[in-house]
Amino acid sequence: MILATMPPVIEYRQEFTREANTTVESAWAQVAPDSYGQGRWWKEIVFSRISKFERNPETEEFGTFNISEQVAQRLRSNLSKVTLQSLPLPTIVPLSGHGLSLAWATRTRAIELSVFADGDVTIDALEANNYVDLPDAGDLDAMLRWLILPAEGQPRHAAAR
Amino acid sequence: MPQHDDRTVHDHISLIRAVRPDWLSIEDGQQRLNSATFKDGSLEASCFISEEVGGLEGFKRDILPRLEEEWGFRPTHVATITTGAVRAAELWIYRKPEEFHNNPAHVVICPSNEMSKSKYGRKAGGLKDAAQLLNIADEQEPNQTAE
Repeated sequence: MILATMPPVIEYRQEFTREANTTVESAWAQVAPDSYGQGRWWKEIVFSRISKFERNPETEEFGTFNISEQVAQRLRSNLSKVTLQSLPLPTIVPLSGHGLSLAWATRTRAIELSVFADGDVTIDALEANNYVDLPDAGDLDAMLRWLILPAEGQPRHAAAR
Repeated sequence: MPQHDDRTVHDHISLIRAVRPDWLSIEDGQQRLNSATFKDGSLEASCFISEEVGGLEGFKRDILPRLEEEWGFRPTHVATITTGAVRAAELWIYRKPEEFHNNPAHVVICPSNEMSKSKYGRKAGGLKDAAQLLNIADEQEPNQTAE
């Protein structure tokens, strides 16, 4: 397998902290750690990041940018159904009003998943920064497959398993 | 949920929204707002009417300290957008002073009653392109101009 054809799978980013004045900036590595186990690794990383925004059930505190346990659960449930084993890691950003946004991006395409405070989930596809309607709208697995499929004239990813 | 678009907030009026650091992305080497900026999990994105809070200086002086208390950190950027641009995206503006210390300058950007969440997400997410990003940490020079 040619390394250059493999999808980016490891994200290096400046994490947001309470004190920091940082901007999300992602770069992508080129090699998938196959030894991590049947591709489940990306979900573990994403689930871990989601939990950072989850309301602490042991306190009464419900911060401006927290999500409820139910919302987090709904999100995990949606992500659990994704069968793709190799994917770019999504950028995870809190929404005001107790929502969360996940965005998977390649060079020209993106999938944005938003979960709202009532647990509703919307999924949008973007190509060249414009929203596009896909035949499989609402099917996260299918939309993520579209994300990693090559656009016309670009080389096919080798590891879209 | 708001029941109507408050047309007493005229189209030329500028709204200010505080921006989290992770609502900024780097594109082509420039800081830009991302689609999370105006999208709200409860469909009501808080903003402040610029002229009613004393512009950016008034916002920094009177609103920012209270936001800092609520957010747990001090926002260093704001987005400004005209109400006309919000309405062009088929979204409503509605005063909600009760949700920010009874401040009458507090408004929310929200969907109309008939708008689906999916459409709301796209419309609210797209407002970033009509907004202007300002760094309020040390200067007020715009980082991004509306296209």
